[in-house]
Amino acid sequence: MSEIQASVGRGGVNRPEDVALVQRLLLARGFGAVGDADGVCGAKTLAAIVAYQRGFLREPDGRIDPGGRSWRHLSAGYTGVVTQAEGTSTASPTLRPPAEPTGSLTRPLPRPDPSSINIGLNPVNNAYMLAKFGEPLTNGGYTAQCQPPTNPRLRRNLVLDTVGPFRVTGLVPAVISLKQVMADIRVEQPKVYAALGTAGMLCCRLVRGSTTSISNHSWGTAIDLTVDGVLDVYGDGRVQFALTLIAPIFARHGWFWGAAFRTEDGMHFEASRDLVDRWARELA
Amino acid sequence: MSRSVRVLSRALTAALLLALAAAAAANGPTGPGTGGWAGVSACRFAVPPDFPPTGLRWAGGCRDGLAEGRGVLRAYAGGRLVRAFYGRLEAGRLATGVVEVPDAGFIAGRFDPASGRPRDDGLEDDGARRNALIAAFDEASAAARELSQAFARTGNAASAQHYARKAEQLARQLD
Repeated sequence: MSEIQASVGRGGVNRPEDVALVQRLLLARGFGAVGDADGVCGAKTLAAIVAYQRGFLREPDGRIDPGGRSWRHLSAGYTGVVTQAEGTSTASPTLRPPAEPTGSLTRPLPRPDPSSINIGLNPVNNAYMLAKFGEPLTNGGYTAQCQPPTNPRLRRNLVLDTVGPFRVTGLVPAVISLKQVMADIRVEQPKVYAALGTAGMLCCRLVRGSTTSISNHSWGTAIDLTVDGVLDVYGDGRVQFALTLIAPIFARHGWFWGAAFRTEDGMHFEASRDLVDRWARELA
Repeated sequence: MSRSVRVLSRALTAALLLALAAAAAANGPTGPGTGGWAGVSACRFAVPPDFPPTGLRWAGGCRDGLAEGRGVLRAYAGGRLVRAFYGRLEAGRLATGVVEVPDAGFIAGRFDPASGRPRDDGLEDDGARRNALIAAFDEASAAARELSQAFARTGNAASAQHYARKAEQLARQLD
């Protein structure tokens, strides 16, 4: 992932290379009002920066500084996947990512390089979750079927609520966070938002094929998504196009995308370690 | 119109309706969302939504002239597999299992017999919803495994291996 060398936007240095990079990233996130990634920071680019910043800044300042919060948001989890415009060469440096998703949202793309996604995020594991939240089933007895948790601390911190396009049952802070994620997806990727569904959030059970490992869904901090009612195929090395568009949005809210697992799990998003750490401290 | 003409008109209308019903029964039960019926006369099945109307093969059981029980419904076009359903049919319609959409993914669950699409059971409990999906993938995996074994028995090693891998893929889809 390239870095901007100087500030872009209102009052910024606005080197053409930096402006073009910011423009490409904004376009990849669905801010088509930018227009072309021409390296010129005009009114449209400034407006797009402000619109983007409204997603996470109370007072957008229209400026992106190297290493600053806006830059970290904009560059987090960017897969680098662009759609080649007709008649252009893959060697062209002026490729413009699509302003809006075109074509089927479920069409498969190669799994992104794991090092290019979930930037700054670490996944959890069973030991970590057990240490933070305890056993979901206090007397064990995990099976291949979903059971409700019996852990009292978990039970009193679960909620069934609407998170935009669907309802889920999960840990309260996870559900609240998902609401924020979905609100951003609705603004930045409305076509994907309209196509999203869920294959479930809370489910206390063993990991497929295991007699000892507990599913990360068992604590209500992970969710599997569908796109147009279709589940991404597990472990085929490909991910649905729509998922690549929303993964950066999940990432900036601290959710880890399962596409980076050793065996690709593109439909899966789970709270990263930092999120789990914070929530564990907050829970009653 | 005289009374005798009215009686004759009603009789003709009734006869016409009976004939239409008989023709429909010969083709199989009807319902919205289906693309008609297919298969051999002893084992008919409703064409699921988004499946092509021809090139369909059901590998599974039959009862009373309709496809029934666990099996695999495959749809071919231009020599390529374009859709497949793994799971259970009931009275010739999708019941529980997984539709494989090549280059997209899986559509899983319990299917509405009228529309042929996954039904919304209104399950708000995540565990119940996920258990329904788990059951669908279990059925699908078992169906693929049975087809693999059937191919193995006929000496078709390549197909046996393909469906054995498919069975594994379906079994491991959900965490």
